[in-house]
Amino acid sequence: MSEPTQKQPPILEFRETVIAREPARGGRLEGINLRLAAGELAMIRVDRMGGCPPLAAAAEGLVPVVNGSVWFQEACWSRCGPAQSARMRGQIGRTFDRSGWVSNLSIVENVVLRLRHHTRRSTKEILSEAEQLAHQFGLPEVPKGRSSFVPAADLRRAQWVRAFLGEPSLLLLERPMLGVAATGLEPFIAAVKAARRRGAAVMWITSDERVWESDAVEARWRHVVEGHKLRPVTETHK
Amino acid sequence: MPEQSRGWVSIRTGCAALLDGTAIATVRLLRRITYPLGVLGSALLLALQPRVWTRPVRNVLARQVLFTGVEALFFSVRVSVAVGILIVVQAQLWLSQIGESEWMGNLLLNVLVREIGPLLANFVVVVRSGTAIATELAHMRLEGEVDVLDAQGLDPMIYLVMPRVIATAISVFCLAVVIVTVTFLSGYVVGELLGAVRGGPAVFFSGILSEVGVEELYFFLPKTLISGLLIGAICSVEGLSIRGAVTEIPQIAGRGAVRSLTIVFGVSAVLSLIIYGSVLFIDVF
Repeated sequence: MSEPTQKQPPILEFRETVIAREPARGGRLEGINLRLAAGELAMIRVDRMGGCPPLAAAAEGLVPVVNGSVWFQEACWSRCGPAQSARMRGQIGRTFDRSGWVSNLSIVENVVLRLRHHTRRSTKEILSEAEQLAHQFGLPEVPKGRSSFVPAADLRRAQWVRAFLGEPSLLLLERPMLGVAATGLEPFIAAVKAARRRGAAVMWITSDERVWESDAVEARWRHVVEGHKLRPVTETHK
Repeated sequence: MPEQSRGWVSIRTGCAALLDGTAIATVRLLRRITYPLGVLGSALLLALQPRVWTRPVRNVLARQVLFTGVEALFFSVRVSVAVGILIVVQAQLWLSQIGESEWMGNLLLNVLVREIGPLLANFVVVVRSGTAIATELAHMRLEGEVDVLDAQGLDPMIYLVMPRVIATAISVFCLAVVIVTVTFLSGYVVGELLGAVRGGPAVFFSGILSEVGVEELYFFLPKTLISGLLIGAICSVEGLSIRGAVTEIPQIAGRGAVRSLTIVFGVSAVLSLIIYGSVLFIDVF
């Protein structure tokens, strides 16, 4: 069953990668070997108190790797120039573990920023899609105020809207359920499944047991961050 | 070791340390000069490429021109009125006393259009906007907002720095035009009220306009545009260079302002030397 996906070109690939972590978190993260093709999902469990390692940043080529290489759509980040890297990042949707908002823009401006910069789609069309996603995720609308004036749970859902907007090729989800009620999990998983059916690859980093244990999240790969290593847990054939 | 030899060793060690220190200080100084120049060069090269002017980037440019230029208008007008009183009235008063009123236009052009107008415009922009640019970008860097932009494929150089550099240059130029115009107007009005201006508005303004030539552009354009570009680049570089805590932000803003003002004076002096020097050279030969 896994043969066809193995032969597909990977969307995201970590090859024997070692990345540096923040000094407070000590040392490096080693043993990162991951290959995600279209439609595949990798679930990575991290310690709740330890926060997210810079895996998503490394997947976007934003942090230099100590060893190995990181590839996106068969292009190695370290060999791409600034313009090409920016174009590639425009195809990635991401939820950020920390704030994730540009404070001098409203939330709706933040949400549509990536697509307005990388595509020629009209703002009206982009907003319409954003509003649809907002309703799907339980928001009455995309918040119009600035991040300081929007409740944290709504901010997290607005991050989902931004990440899924424009049908990106790769979704990097850094603890997307942080601060969100359990009722939000079902529509979120539904959106992830829909994205996978469209051909997106997904890397989901979580410290949430209910997410890790959920059968609804059909992860192709499961890894755990233990100390300095990223350890594969199991390979599933879903 | 004999005492004489120990002495030579000490001297050599001291000289080596002095040279090391001088070399390091020189490299740091050169880096402080060349790094903003490099950023400015990159910003200008990027600005020439149509592909970078996406909708969000154009929005940033518009907002920066609004904040740096348009919102500084009233402040600039107030400053210009005061300068008009100080300079135009004084010039008219003293030139009349020595019977050289025909030099009025020439003097005002040389002083206001070539020197004071551009300098004042640069001051206004540094004080109002330069510090704000450095502060805003430093805050964005500390809060991780620059990383958020980068992660979405918005190159900080294209989205943050380039529009600010261009907007600052445009604003300095436009504000300098306003400052020069208002200075002349206010100088005339106050001079007329004090009886220092004779001959009526037609005589006053025609005397000035008759002296206007292409040479004014040689001074006015580079002193506004080049200085404006450098202010934008320096303050952006300072803001984005923050690495520590939020308490560094006021220092960053202050440093950006001081370095910008130093550059403004330096550019003004160098350009004046070059242009006046070439004029003298042509006259002599």
